[in-house]
Amino acid sequence: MVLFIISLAMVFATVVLAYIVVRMQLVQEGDWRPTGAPGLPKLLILSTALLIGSSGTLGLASRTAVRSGSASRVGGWMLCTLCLVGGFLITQGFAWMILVQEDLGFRSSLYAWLFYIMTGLHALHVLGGLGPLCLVTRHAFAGRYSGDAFSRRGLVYCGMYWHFIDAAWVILYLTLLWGMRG
Amino acid sequence: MTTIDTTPPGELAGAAPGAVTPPVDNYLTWSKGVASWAFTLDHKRIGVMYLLGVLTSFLVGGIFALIIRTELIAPGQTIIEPETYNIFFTLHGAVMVFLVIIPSIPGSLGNFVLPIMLGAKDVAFPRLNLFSFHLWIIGAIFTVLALLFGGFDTGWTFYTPYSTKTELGGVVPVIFGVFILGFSSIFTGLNFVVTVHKMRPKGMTWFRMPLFLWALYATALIQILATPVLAITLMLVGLERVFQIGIFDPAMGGDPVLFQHFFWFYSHPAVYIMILPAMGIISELITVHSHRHIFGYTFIAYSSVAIAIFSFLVWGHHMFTSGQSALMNTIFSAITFSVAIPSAIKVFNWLATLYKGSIALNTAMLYALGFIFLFTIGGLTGIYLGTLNVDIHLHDTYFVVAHFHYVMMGSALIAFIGGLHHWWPKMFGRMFDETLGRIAFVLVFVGFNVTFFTQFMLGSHGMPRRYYDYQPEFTIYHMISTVGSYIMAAGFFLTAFYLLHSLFFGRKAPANPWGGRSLEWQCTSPPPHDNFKTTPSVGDCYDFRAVHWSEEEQGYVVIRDDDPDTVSSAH
Ligand code: HEM
Ligand SMILES: [Cu+2]
Repeated sequence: MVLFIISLAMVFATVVLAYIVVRMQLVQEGDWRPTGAPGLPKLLILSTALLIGSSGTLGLASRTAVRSGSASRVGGWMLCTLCLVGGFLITQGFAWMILVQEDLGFRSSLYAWLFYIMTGLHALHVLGGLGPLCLVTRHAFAGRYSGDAFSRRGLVYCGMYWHFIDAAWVILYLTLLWGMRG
Repeated sequence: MTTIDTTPPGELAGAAPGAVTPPVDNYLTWSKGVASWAFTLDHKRIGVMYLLGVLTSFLVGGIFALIIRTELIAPGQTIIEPETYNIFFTLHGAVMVFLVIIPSIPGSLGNFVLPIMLGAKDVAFPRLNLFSFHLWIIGAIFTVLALLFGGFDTGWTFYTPYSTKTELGGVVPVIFGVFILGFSSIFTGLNFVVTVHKMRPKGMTWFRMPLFLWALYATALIQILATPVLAITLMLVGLERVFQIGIFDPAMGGDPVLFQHFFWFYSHPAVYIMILPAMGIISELITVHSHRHIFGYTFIAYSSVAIAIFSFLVWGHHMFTSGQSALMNTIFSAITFSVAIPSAIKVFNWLATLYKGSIALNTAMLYALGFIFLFTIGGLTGIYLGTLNVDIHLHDTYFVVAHFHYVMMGSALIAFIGGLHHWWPKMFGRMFDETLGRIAFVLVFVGFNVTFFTQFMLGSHGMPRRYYDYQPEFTIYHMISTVGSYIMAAGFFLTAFYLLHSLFFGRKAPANPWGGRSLEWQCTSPPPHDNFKTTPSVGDCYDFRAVHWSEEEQGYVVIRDDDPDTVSSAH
């Protein structure tokens, strides 16, 4: 699982690097951010908070499980996680809609294109994680991870993946913020 | 069922040689029907299916190659149009790289041998393994589909901006195909790493692992780290092509050289994905067929890992002429030289192993010796190309073509064919015809050198690569090269013939025809479904003093006097 995550990290590292290179070149040439192009929607702050929150509740779920909490409490934390992740995706969707309304079509400039590519790539990985997350939630309610469970692998791996997705987003977000200057 | 190393030869006395059919099942006949193969979780069957897929792709890629060479036999148009030529050399490259060489050794031989060498039942994640194979099939289908969409003529490197602008419609399908093949490769890598970490038998420490496993392990690490970069890069190219906007598009302020950086960040490590497993095979072949303990085990093992690490630091040597800064060029050139060190360490250790060994010039061994020769030429010419000022002259000429054929075909593929001969009796339980095997090797070896050595000369005289037409003064070289390719083709067809022939008419193979010492030679040929009934124990897998010829078996048996425990454990 660690290797799998390193593998994914390479993907995100590549786009971040691409973003940095392209931005630096375009800033030099003086046409990075088209005049009048909107900045990052404030909504992204909310979505960031939601995603970090989901990472936290997932952590709580595994903590509860280890401390032999009841199935319903572990499941409850998992459900919270699911809701927060759902909230994240919805806010990201709204952020995209706001930008489109402000006339930032993805074909208008590389500035826009890169924003959509990066958030889109990340959203795809979140979507991909939803399936396993639902499964783990069901197992949690069924008591698979509570008490002296046979194995908490599912929960642990899910947690690792989610913390990674969370960290990846924070890095992407910081990169985007940095890209706004200039 | 007993494993061979626990059956004292005396026990079988009385039975006529060859008539001894141990009452064991075998994985080939274990269950029947197409579905039992297509959805099998057995690593051996998956390996055999990879083998079939890879060899079929090799045939397809080879036919493209013969068409290209025939076109080039004389200047001007010979048999195909210039546009078709561009499509064919691109297809040849893409098929050979992504469908043949990269999956060949890990996918087929690796899958088959790795768990058995570990004395395990299967790889760590059999389902994931099957999934990798299915992905491989899907990727291959997309590559074929690309042809129906009009083909593609970008070269196997998909350089932008051409790949986002060319009129031909096959670019998106093939990019998608390669993208999927990348996942297949990543999952295989993950599987191998976990298997090697978790499933080594008792007594097999890291430094008692067969060297082939070290090589597969190092390869798997590269696969996991480098392939994702290729995947995302190709995805960006695909999107750029569809939407006509993207970061590699100079018209929008993007940077096509960035594509080259990303591409070679994958593709240079990828050349080691091809060569490392090949070196692993050679380490096995050399010691088994010269019946001598491998020389410098730890050096060989560490050099695999060293190569894997260095391989990530040299990609810039493909871009000396792409406008990198002089400083970058110098740094990349210097690091490129350092790759030669671990490679040379391996070559010297193989030679030292051969020295005073009792060498059996089997077909497999001939391929191993051929490898050493060809890899030396390929590696040394790599140093030429890594030398900055020389490369300015040689870049994008036939010299580069010759260099990478010496290392990809002359080394990686030759090692694959050698390994195939080595493990063929194990895979299918039949011996092939050694005489025909040797003849075919000579044809392949001579044909190869005739074809590609001439291309070094072509290149240093200035013939650019990927050209459809050429100046008349190059004619003689091109003609020789084409003739060489026909000789080589004859060799490969002969190989195909006697291998297929052996499946039906070959002598039944003993468990251990060559005198191997590692675990795969200690189960029957072909292995039973579960490989081993009990987890076998291992000693030093290169200690050939324990290997003895047995008349009854018509093969070798391993009798370990160092460890009486295992000799009697199965009784
Ligand atoms: C001692 C080790 C090696 C060195 C120093 C080396 C060096 C180089 C250099 C400098 C180039 C760029 C030439 C140019 O484009 O102007 C090159 C090209 C190439 N090398 Fe190597 N190489 C080595 C081993 C290998 C191996 C083991 C493989 C594959 C199994 C390989 C495959 C290739 C390929 C495919 C290309 C050309 C790619 C293309 O432009 O289409 N090389 N090598
Ligand atoms: Cu290279």
